[in-house]
Amino acid sequence: MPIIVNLDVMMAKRKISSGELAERIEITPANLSILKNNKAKAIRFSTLEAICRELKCQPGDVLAFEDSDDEEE
Amino acid sequence: MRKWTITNSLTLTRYLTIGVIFLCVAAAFCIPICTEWYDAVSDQKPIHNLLNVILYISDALGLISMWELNGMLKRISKQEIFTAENVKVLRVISWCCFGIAALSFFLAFFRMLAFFVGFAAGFFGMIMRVLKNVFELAVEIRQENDFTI
Repeated sequence: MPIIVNLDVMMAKRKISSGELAERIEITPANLSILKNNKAKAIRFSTLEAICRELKCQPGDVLAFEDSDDEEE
Repeated sequence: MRKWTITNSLTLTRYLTIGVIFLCVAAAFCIPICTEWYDAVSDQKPIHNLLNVILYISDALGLISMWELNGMLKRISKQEIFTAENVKVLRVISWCCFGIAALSFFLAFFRMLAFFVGFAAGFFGMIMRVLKNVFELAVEIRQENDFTI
């Protein structure tokens, strides 16, 4: 998928651990891991809102579009 | 009176499936006797050898279907409903039905009545195919839902 989740970059910038962020945005660490590893198929606005609120950033800081020519889909 | 729940319904279906599995096994022992009896009472050309072959293959296909169905019911009782394994089971059952339909249509060249059995088996196979496609889509939707954070 050409949408990349840069959550780990933002987390490193804000010096916040996965466990702490998962607790703050009220999702399970397993789901946060899916999100961080770009395995998620979609993200709810409520989750994105919570991430932006806790990391004090914009959605564009967390999500990026990367066009790849060798994509199979 | 005992309340009728989905678990009870599943248990009953599993018992019925196991019953049919035993019937299929028992039928394997009775097929030669039944075909010889059929030839004895029928005034048409004897076909008991052909009937034996067709009935044994159909019995095996029926047994495979029931075995797979039992596995699927077991998974459903464990709340594993929309899974790739269940899609595979429905595909296997539909192909078994098509196999029985093909055999029955072949038998219809000798005994017209077999045409109706073939038609019923083919129709059931088609329904299974539709169900398989629905399950396949449901698996995709479930996966998408599981990976929506």
